[in-house]
Amino acid sequence: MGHGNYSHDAHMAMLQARASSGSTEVFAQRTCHPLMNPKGVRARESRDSPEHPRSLGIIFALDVSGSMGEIPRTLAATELPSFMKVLGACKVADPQVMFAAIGNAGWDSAPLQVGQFESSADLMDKWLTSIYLEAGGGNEYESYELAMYFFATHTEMDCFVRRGRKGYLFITGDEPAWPALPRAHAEAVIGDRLDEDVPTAEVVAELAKSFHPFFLIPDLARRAGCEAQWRELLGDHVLCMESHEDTCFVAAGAIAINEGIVGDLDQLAALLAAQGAAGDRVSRIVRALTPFAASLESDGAPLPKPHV
Amino acid sequence: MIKRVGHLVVDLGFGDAGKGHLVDALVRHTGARWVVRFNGGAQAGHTVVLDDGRAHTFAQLGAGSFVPGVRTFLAAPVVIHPTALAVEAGVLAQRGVGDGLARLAVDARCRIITPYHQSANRLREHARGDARHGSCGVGVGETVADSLAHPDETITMAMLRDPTAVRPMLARTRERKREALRTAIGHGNGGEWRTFEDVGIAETWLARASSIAASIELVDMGAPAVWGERGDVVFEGAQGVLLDERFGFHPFTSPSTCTFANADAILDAWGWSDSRRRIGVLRSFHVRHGPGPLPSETDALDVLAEPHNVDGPWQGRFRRGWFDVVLARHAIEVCGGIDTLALTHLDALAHDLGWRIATSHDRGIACGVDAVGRVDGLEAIAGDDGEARMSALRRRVSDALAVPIEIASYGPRTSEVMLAIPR
Repeated sequence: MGHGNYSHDAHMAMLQARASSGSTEVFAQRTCHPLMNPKGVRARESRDSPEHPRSLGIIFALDVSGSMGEIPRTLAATELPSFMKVLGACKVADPQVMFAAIGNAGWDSAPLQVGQFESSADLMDKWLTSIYLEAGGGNEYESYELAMYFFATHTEMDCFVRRGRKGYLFITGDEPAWPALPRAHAEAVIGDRLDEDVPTAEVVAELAKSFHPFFLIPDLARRAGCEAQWRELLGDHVLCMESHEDTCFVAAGAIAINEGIVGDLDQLAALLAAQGAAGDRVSRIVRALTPFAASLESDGAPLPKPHV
Repeated sequence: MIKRVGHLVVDLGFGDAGKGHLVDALVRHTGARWVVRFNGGAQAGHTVVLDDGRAHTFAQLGAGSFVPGVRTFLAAPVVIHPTALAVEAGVLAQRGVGDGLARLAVDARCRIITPYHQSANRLREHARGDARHGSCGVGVGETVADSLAHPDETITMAMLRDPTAVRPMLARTRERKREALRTAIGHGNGGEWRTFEDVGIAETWLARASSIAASIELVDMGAPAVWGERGDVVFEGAQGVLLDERFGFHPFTSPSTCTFANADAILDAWGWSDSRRRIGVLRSFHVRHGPGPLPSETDALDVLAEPHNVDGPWQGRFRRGWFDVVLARHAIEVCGGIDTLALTHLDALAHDLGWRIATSHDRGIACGVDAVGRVDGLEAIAGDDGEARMSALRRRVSDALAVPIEIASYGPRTSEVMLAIPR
């Protein structure tokens, strides 16, 4: 792109968006669902309740541009129920999960969609399948930084406010974020008036005050286009998966390791196997989490002996 | 009151003369605050290359957009592709200009290209096979033709503010064009046909197009309200005089007026009393992207590769020929004369390619099919080095056409445009 073929790209993106939606499509939304429109939203809240006294806010922000549309479909079709089971097995007491969708604020009609924090799989599924899979894109960046800005500044979580415990953000994607959040996007999409564009690194710094942010790359072939920039931004919190089908397990594993619920990757592997994950799948998940676990010295590898 | 100048930039060939970098240079040189597009539409490809290495091929945003604050006005005959506008603004944002759409104003009467027009254009051009017209595959021509034959179905920029009114028009257009295409080229499956088979296309497109349109300043009558009373205005022509619907060589033409006429009409309607500078643009050699007559065509120039003009799937091959005085004189005549010629791509003469110019044809130029004869007179442009050849060509062209050359460019960058016009 970039040789004046904008009408071709616009046209093909729309035809492809339509082609990928079959007649049995569970994602029936053809525009942004009004309840998922972030414009004017003060805050999405994750609150403790008598049934869920120790809530933990978890956000899944899914890139829904072009080639990334498979992840929400897989999540809806097979993964979401097992995700709750695995989180339960990992002893994450009261997870509250919010789904969000990320596109490109440069031209998509719904560049950011945000659901609500929910405790039951039914309600999570409702938000997940209310996402409009616009399938735009065909470009260099997606508006991940706009989504991160929203999560940093428009969420309130009891886990953090009451207990000082950060929530979790998992972004799936295969492109870099814009280098800076354009103030025009913040105003057009969220309604916030910023004085100037905010460098994406500053957005991440603000986000990291209340969240553990992770970026999940769906398969190894897509690392080349985005990994370097995300490593700059998030360091070891970039998780390179070998199959997008592992998204939920990898996310649950990251929480379990980071919270110290499992001591190392061996324990995690045993736990996943006990949940019915096949051997090769367990291996994939462990490989995706190894660099992160190593950074916490929770990879199970022996530490180098100190020189005497 | 300060006198203003309207700089009217028109390509005297078949397009691709370098209007992009001239417009950017003119805006910087004159301090113009507005760039006005007055013909064609989303098929334009006007490339600007900055000294810092950034480049953008402008299609619907004005080629002055790299200059902060300079605004673009798409005047009424321009045909708009709203979703492509958003894509272009997004690409431009990645090049550091994030407010492309915010600086845009569009005449409320501008016609809109729908997916039905774009797909119909592609299906027809595809069915022509080898006999294609060199269309860009955007749907400008299809939209213009439909607006004349079916004015009740013509969607304008203003109408996109009211999707409920547009919805039934889209449904009618879909039905009508599907039947027309079945009759014209027979029914097909998949690919572009999907546009007509999938009823959901209309809703998907309408949601996007109307949300994009809602973010763009709409100009109801005449000049934009914020026009102001100061500053020059640059009129950025698209395509080229030799593709003009009246003066080009049929059927290899564009359904568009490519002369100064639209720009003059717009200035007249505004009551513009200040001066107008009519700038005709030509390369130091003639080029044509796609099929159609190019009498001075030669493969001696094929070595002049260009990153921004590649052989396209819709337009076909990018062809080159010697500077053709006969074509240039014809173009100047049909557009009512020029004040100055802008001669571009002079740097090509740095290559010693046995440079020539075509000085006569075996018969005169008429309009219509077989309008052009063959070149029967070539004259060598001699010179020991590039600089000598460049000045020899400048002098020879200026003499042959009896016009001054006050603008010349020696490379793709804005800084390589030399202007000898008052600031």
